[in-house]
Amino acid sequence: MDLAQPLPFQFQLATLPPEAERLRGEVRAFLADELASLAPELKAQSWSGFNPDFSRKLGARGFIGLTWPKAYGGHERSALERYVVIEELLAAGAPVAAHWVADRQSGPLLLKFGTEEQRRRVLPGIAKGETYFSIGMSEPDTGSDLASVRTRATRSNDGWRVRGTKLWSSGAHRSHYMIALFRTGDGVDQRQMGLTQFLVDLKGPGIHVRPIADLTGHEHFNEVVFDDAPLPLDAVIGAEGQGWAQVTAELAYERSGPERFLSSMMLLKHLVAAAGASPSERIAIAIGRLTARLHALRQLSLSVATQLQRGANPALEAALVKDVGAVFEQDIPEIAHDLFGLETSLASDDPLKRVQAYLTQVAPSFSLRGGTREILRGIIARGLGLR
Amino acid sequence: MSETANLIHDAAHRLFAQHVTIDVLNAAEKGEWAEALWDAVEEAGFLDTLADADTPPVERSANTAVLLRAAGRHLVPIPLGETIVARAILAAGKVKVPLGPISFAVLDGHTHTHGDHAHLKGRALRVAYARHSANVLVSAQDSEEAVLIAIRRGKLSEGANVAGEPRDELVFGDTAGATVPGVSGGDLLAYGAAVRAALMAGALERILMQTVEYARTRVQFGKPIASFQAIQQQLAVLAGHTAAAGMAADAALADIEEGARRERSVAIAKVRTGEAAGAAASIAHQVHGAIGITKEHSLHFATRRLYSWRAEFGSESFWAEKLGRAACSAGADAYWPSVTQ
Repeated sequence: MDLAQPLPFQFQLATLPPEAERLRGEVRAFLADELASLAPELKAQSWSGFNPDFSRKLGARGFIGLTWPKAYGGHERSALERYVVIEELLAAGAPVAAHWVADRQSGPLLLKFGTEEQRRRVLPGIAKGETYFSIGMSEPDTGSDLASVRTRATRSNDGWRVRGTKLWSSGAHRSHYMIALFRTGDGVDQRQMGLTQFLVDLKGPGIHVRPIADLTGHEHFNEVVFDDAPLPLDAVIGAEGQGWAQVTAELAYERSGPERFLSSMMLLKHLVAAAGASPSERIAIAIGRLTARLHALRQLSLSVATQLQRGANPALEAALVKDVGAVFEQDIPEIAHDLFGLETSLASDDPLKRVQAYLTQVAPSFSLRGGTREILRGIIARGLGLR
Repeated sequence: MSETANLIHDAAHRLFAQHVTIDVLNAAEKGEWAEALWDAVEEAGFLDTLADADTPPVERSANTAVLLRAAGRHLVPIPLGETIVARAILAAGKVKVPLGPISFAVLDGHTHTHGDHAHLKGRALRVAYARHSANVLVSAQDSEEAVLIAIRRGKLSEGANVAGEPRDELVFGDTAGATVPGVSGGDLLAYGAAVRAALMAGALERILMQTVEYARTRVQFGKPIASFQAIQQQLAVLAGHTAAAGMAADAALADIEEGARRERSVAIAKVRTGEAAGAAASIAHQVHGAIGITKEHSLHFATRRLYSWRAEFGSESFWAEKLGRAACSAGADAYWPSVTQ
């Protein structure tokens, strides 16, 4: 064993530049005004909370499309400045779901692979907080095994015809567009071949969106049926048949941000409130342990953001942050139960009980969305040289 | 990493690879002093990475982090971190720095100053490598001064941690030593915790490397056990703990000279590395199977040290309680702003 060898993953302490800290102050002041009357259990929805009015105000303040070129409505700020805005929004429980997918991954994907016409058509609307996107990857028979998608786009005289069903598309019932992965070829040699990404206008004919209530009754994800739906020729994003490489790049945006460890922040904040200024030893230790984990995770995540800013591809590091982060987010409701043992309810008068009731029920999704725990750990194992 | 840090990294690994063999570790556990290792470390100039006034503080602490991480990977059986910290404290306090290993400890007792000299009375428990050190730096919990004192002036009783590292007891009657003003027992505790966190971060990396290598070479059911998902998933968890612990340990050393931030960063690091230590040792032993718990196999050198180091200079619960009390007394609205500070 050569102990001088570097590990296959690299994390280095990151420091935020002064302009990012200045921006933090602006975002905090804005959120203090905007969120003053938002109920705690709605804040707990974090990036599942859908509020177009809020998204438009955020866009007007220049807090969406932060890193994009000004030519497309962006603000040409750094990835670290974006990081600060995002962590402040999530820590405050801002209802960011409407523009979330568009800002985080659809916009960056179009900047990388889209045509000039596609960019000019949608990016300015995203940056204004007016144009919303959903993700069309999973299907009824396709979850973790993404290369098994069967929804097929076939060339017609004047464009494409799509038949099949996409599933778990968050916000599709209130979005304008979907970026969908369809099969356009057979991929005889390799299943990853013959896949293509499309820019889909969800108002088009032959597209039926049906919301699916989650276990709390909240409707955010959907089934989207394509019933011989026509798409124009120029709906293709990037190169026909290159969908797999593009979708992999898209998932890297999806796995690296502070949303991967801040989902239960609202509950942690209420735990500190419930503990009071002079908590018992047991409660103080539990909150201290969570605090240590939170700090370490944030430093890891900031390190990934710094690597992205430099143009590196920290896919292994992002998978590590998401995996460790999901465990942290899921432990918080369990520790809340262990400390206080409350009979929680969404109808309670006590905000802690409402927040805990919501997060306890949705926490299982934290290690499902954006790549399951098992898939992520498989990616990490590959990075370690085990497979 | 800066160029200097890179040089320290390479030089440290070369030196430790040469001098810290399994034979040296076994001899150290039997009580032998690793003299050749100590002499090489002294000669390499590693003892003043934190004391060097010509280097900016940010680089000093980064260089020390690199050095201690390497020391943790190799499990060096000398009071390296203790001496580095003691020399930095003495240099900053304008006290003449003595030759040789210097240990440090929190004193159960009291100190008082008369002119240039301080007197102390009390005892210090589980002092690292005291029997091999000429001097020890001690301070009582709420004292306003630390005292550098020759170990031969006290009464020494030998002891060891579960990894066989010397942890001796020292008893001092009314004994005089050199005063270092403004350094409390609490400060020494924080320095000690930062050193242990950095060493644990290195030892965790060693465990990850060793366990990955074992999984890739151990064949069962006709293939390397690394090809089984049950093994892969466990090693991914081990990697996550290693990453988080390393980050927290680096942050603690980065803040080691930042009075106000030091205690919090050290607390975070000691909690996170300690939590990682238990989980990592458990996974490493599980993947290694029965061979890993034999004396003959080398895995235990790291796991036994992790079991010891996580309890030294304050356990996870000790530091977590401090963090938790600070968070609760500041209140819920101050919680997130303090995370970003």
